[in-house]
Amino acid sequence: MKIGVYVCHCGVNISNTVDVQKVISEVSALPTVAVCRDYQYMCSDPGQEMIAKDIRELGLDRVVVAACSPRMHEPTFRGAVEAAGMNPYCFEMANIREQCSWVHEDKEQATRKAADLVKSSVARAALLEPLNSTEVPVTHAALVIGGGIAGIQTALDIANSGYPVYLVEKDPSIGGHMAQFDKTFPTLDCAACILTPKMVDVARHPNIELLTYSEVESIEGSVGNFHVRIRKKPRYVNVSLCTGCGSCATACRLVGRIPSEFDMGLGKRGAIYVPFPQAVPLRYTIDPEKCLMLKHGKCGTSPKCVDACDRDAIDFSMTEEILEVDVGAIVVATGYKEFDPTIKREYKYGTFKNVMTGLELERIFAPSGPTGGKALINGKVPKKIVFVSCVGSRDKRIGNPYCSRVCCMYIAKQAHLLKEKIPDADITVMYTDMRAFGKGYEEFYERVQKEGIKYRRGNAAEVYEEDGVLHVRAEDTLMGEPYELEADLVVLGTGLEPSDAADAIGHMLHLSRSADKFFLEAHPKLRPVDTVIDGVFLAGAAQGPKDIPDTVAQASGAASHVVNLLSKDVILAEPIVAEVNTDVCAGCRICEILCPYDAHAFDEERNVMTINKAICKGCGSCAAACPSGAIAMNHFRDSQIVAQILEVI
Amino acid sequence: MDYAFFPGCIAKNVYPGIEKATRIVFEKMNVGLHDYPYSCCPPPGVVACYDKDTWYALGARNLALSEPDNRDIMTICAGCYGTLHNVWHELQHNDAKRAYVNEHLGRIGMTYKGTSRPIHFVDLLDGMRDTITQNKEVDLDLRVAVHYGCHYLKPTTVTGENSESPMLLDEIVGLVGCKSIPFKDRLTCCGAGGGVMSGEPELSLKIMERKLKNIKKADVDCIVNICSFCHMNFDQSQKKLESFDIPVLHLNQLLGLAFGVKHKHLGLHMNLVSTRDLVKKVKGAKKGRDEE
Amino acid sequence: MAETWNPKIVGFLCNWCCYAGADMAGTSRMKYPPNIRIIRVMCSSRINAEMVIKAFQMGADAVFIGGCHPGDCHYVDGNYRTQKRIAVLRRLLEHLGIDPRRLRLEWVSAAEGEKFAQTMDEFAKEVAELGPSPLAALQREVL
Repeated sequence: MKIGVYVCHCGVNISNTVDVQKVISEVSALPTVAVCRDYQYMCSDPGQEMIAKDIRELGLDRVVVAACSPRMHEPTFRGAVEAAGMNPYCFEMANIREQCSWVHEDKEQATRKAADLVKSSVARAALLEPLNSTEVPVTHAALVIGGGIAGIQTALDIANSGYPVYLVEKDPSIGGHMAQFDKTFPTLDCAACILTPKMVDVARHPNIELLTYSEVESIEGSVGNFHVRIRKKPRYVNVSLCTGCGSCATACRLVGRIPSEFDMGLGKRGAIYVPFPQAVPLRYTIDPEKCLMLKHGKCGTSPKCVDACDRDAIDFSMTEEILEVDVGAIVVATGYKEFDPTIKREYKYGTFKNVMTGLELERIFAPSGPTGGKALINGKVPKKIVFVSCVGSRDKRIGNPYCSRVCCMYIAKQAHLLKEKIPDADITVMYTDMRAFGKGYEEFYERVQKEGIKYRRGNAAEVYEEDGVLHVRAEDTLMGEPYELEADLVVLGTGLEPSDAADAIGHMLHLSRSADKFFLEAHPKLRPVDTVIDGVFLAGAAQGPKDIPDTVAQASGAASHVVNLLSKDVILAEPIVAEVNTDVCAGCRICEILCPYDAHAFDEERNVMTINKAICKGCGSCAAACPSGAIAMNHFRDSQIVAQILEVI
Repeated sequence: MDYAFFPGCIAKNVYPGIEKATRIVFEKMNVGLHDYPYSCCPPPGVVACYDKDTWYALGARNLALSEPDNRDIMTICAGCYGTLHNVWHELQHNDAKRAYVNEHLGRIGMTYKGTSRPIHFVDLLDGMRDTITQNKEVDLDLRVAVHYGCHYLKPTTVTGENSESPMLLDEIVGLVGCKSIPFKDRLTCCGAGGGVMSGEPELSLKIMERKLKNIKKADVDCIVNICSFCHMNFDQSQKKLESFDIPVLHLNQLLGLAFGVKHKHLGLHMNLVSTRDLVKKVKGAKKGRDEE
Repeated sequence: MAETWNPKIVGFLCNWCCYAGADMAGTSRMKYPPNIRIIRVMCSSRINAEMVIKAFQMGADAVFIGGCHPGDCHYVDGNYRTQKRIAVLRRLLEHLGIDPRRLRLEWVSAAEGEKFAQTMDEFAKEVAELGPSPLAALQREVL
């Protein structure tokens, strides 16, 4: 056995706390260790070359690198040793940075611990066995969950590369929140003008199968081969017959009586509806919660929508369908939901109609919105307007310490639009800190100030009513004095939270969440699009609050990762799987019920268990339970783990 | 349920009606209140500013008194609560301070363990809503202005309360048929605490005047508080300012009225601002109910 | 004991949540006492009773097992199996004369660096209060 050990300084990240030379002298003394060296940056080219040279010249059969977390650089070094002719699974890493030098202060104890960890890795390395990856075929199709701008962009990019895409959207139309916006900051392009062409492209694209009003029910399998069940909710309208003419909607007995979700409840719709005029697909949907026919089985003498439809598209007998598809990669683009400001009772949202959220004001601005784009709040033109920033963001009391990243700028945009529509309006923005970080944002912020929008630092404390007039109290933290303003309209700069769908999707895919409850990326800097689950990628606000440019950039990034994966016919599956020694197996079948993936199959003839390598994910739960020790968990064998235990004590 | 009862200096010496009302109301709700030889809490604005260590030691002594009987301490004044709860909170995780306190308590044969928690009575009432409704004899039907008191709400890191928009007291007065009327700046200080009343009496009165003006606008039948010190300030300042005439009730006095207790037993006649009209109104409501 | 005694804790951490959480504590530079020696496994359910007992036998003062939060297991339900196994193992440890408090199971997510550091802090203190493991003392005598 010839083991080479390489201790990294990581600049000074390790060597500041750990006495590298001491570790080396201790490890060098081990009988299995043929060579032990240190280097400033092991992961750099010269560092990797140092290892490769030793493998070639000294004939090393095992390599241990003591450096950062294997979650960071194990793939790097596996690649390096493989290139030098060693089996990559004969490589082992000791984590002496994240779990030693960065978390301990006492140098002597940290050095002791580092030496223990390296010795434990050496003991393990001596027992490692060469493993060979198996090839797994790749299904050349992708699933995109969420039809907002992130999902739209991802789906289009993948489809344009020639791969089929299933785009699943829970609402009757794609478009997401961006479709609700009037103009976008800082360029003030009309959101619909830039979004709707993309929506139409999606609908027309031969490679995209658009599944609106549908939800992902379950996902099984792994990278390259996911099996997905999708539930198509019944629209009660045959989409192949419906032309989107709208006769049914005007005929509906409930027309104009149901708050429209798309208009944030400010506009009204009927029981049969399209969310907005530019919806894609432009097909009607019946709301089963509201429709008299579906709820009570009776709508006057006969349902008016049925009478109005020339195409006989309405079908009350429709039921939900389950669609099963196979894909090689998945992109999660479940987006965000607006923070519910009723939690911040002091702002009296829900009590006073002229306290509204940013998203509600977007609908007021929209030409297709409830006021036809006129700046009317409850029928009146507001003259005194106060914006309150950071509602639901940067607020530890409600558990959202993070910045929502878009509010400063959408407030600036909305203030600008209000000033444009109501030139004599007195507009004040109460802000915590201005964050105008994007391209052209600072310039826009300056422009808005020049237009006469007043910015006062310090957030609002309370909104109250006196003699029928709203007052907003705040402290001006630059002047150091409290003040209050009268307001006809208070706009709450509500922040972003992960969408409700994130819970179910996260569980299905076993995705981790960061402290802010958004999905956790594989690496905060270098892998912002990947998740730790191979073949699953993130796009848009599902990963964290984002503006449109960042969302689109990440969506294209996710798409390129997907295309990268789908362009291969086979991928290599990790050989870290469980194996049964059939000579020892007694056929008790305890392991069978433990496997979450049904990888175990009992061989009745030989009365032994077998494990399907392609299905096994390598958790090792069965190996831990096997009473006769017949199951070996490759790369995490009992002997390998015990060898580590012995060294660390 | 049994609690150690910490009446505090003001209820004991200035407004005995508050203490009496508390004893009656809690007896009706089957809560046993037990007396201990308490000292002054002592107030944060007076003692803690000058000598925090002494403040901890004296507070700890009060807290330790009911430890042998395993009783939590119920306070009826936000100031007492503020002191006892802050002391308790600090001693929970500050080992050095706890050792200091115990060194001093040791000299009088006592130790502080931290096993008895201080509880503000309104938090106790929060968990007894059904009992309050069951004991209610009269729907008071009053418009009230509620006052929480700063030391009950803050610092939020210690109290865990929502200091921006608390609702508990509004909900509790609602249980006995009162309507909490919103008024401007309802959460601001009354002007008494923090040593302001004794150190800056004119400023204190100004703060109170502004507060009373806002309450007057809301057109209420009375002010309801959960703090003896605020109670004293509301009542006494109105005599000094002369242009107001809003009766001041401690929450336990209000509950007493709702439970059908005679106003004299609640000490309402001992307030400086007359409660006669208010009592008359409540009697009317009671009579109406009896005739039904 | 001649030298100052420092508790020895063996940690088995699942790769996906707790190990990542420990890494997060590192990248955030949160400090905790250096008593733990971490061994990485893919899933906490890889750990069997023998490994834990072996650790105690060889002189560990405590064993820490870290997995994903319920419902977040990378392998669907491995952490439930771990929880059940540990519950049984605790009773077994009592029979062996080992205080079951020396075996701690905790769910730490990849984002909970702070929780990991805090847990390490607490556990090290707790084990220090418990004193050296009786088996560890025995082990020293044998040696």
